[in-house]
Amino acid sequence: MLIEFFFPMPKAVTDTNVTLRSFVTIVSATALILGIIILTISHLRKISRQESEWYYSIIYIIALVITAGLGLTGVRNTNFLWIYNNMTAPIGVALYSLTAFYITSAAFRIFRARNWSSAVLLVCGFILLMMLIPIGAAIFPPVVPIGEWLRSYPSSAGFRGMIIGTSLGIMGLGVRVYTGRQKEHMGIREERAEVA
Amino acid sequence: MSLIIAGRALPLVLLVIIIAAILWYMQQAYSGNVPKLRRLNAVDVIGEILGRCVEMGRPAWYLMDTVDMTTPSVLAPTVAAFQILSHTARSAARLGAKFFVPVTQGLAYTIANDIVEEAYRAEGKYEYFDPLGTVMYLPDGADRMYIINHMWSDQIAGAFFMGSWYHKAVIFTENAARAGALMLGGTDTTHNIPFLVAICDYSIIGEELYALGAYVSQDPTQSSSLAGQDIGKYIAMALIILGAILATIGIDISSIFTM
Amino acid sequence: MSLIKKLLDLDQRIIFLVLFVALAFPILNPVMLPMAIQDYSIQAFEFADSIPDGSIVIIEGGNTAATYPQCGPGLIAQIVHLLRKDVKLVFFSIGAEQQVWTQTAIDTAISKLPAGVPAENGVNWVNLGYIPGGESATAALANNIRSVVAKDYFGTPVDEIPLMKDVNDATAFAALFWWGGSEGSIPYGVRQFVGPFGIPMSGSCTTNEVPNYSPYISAGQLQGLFGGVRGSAEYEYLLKLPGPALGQAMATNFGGLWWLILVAVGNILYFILRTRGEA
Repeated sequence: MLIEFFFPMPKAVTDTNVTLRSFVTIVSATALILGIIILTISHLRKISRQESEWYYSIIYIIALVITAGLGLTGVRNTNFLWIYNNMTAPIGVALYSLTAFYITSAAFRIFRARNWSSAVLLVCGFILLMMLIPIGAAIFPPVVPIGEWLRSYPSSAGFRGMIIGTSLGIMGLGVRVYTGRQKEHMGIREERAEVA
Repeated sequence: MSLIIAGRALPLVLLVIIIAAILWYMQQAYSGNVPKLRRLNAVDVIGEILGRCVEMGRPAWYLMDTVDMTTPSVLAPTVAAFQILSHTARSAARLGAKFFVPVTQGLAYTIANDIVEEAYRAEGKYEYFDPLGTVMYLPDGADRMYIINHMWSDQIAGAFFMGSWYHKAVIFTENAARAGALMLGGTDTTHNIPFLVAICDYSIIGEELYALGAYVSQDPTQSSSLAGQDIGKYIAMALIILGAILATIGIDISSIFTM
Repeated sequence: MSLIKKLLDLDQRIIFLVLFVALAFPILNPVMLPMAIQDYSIQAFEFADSIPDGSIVIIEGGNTAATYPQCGPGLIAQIVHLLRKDVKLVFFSIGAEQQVWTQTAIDTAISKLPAGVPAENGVNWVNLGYIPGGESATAALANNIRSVVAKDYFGTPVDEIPLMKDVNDATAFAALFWWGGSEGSIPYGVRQFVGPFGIPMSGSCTTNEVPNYSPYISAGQLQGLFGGVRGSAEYEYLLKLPGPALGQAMATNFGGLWWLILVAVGNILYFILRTRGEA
């Protein structure tokens, strides 16, 4: 696939790559089923040993049976879609919205001008938030040009540097994995001297 | 039909140069010429956090957020996080720290489980490893409430946030901070790096995540590959300066990028 | 512990409660406050407006349940905007859940269209559904659509869809719109459509990701960007199509003000402690 990105390839090669890419879907589905099995075993163990809050595990088993059962009859099943639209989706949205609350809590704790660097962070964060909230420009109009300048120049420059560095890191990781030097992620650890 | 797809000649040349540099440094390390590398402070921080957990008798958590290994942009930081997990789990087993690793994908769970189990076996502490408890599978979505609640109830003393972090970064790090944990955070997801840097006590930024993985592997050929990456950085710096000068004096070189 | 120290160590539940009230009140009691339009949004709107009538564009629908409330209204506005110009739309998604929300946005947008604006499936728009493989799927799509898509979202073979008759790669499209939600996938479009084929691109993402893509906007690879609920609200405002995003954007005013008050008060109290030598 790497070679296909740079060089025009015959149809046989591109067809093979299409097939390989379709394996991704199969692996994703397998990972999902594997996760369900592991989770079910974990909850069944909890029920059998009556560990703390084991009754929630019963709720999990019931929810799994109902949802999976309805899903197996067809993903456009009315009841299945009702569960998705009225339970799964709103819960997903609610959990995602936790971010806003924790960011506010974190901001109160962290955005304090303890030294010069944190003071700069504080001022820039303040300006950018004033720019982003719709009424910010009405309260203090100069935040818009200053905030846009901060976002377009220093912030972009910093992000560009991080993107370049991260891309190089990924290249290095790829070379180490492809040459077989890096195996720790597969649980294979060779005995070596301690890091000095 | 052209030999190379239009617009990809320059990226191909740069890719070949950088990979050649990495391979050259790795080969040099095989021959015993290991380049001098700046020590990453995060290596000592891992020991510091685990030591704190042992002294306080409270657990250390290792979290990886998104571990969807079928997505290319997530796979690379996840592999790096696994490498760091290998070292951290081994250190935790050796020091006797209570260790917990929640994982949100089945495939990644099996890999993480193998890594941690192998670490405990290597240290002769297999009796402290719980197959379904030390590394736990939590469905994506449901993991949030479990982790938030148990960070408080378990009174964690240390936490590692490694891998590909998205919006959960703020939730978990802030919660861990309020629970009193000492934290090391590292991700390559650029828009979440600022959150980890601001909230965590120690952080590794972007490329350092991959570098730390190579460093703690204790393999000189892996760590020497970092020197090869630096060649890429020098090339990038030279191109940026050259491009800025040429753009300032009005020379348009955009045709090079469409070769 | 002194009062100032207690305030600086404020229980996060109090912070959460006040934030909840600040966000809920303007949603329950709609309040319209002045709103300045960001330059990224103006750029993205003008880009969409400049698409020649009757062209074909490709849209990636990447919103999930979590991001649909903030980015979904903007996608709806985009669909209405383009269909009103008789632009033909080809949708795809790189996530399984995302294809469902994309179809939801299409259905909602069609219900908002003025009478007489055509919006027939297969003629004016087509939803190709979920294409697995992330960036590699995007690359394959850009080079040969039929290599990765055999049927659309509803199961109709691609060769039987009138809109797809002469459409098989990126060169058939006048523009790419990437509504990536929080996928972090906008660079896929830049790398696979803009770079190799020169197809102009715009899009949307969640608010926290906007700084991540400002380098692409500065470099001209992205023609503006709608960021989060504010971006969606601005699109509704520019299109004169009021929707849920405008109400939510007003709520962010109050939430943002509470954030600013917290940070300001926190720093003032911290400085007081420092001058006393207690920090």
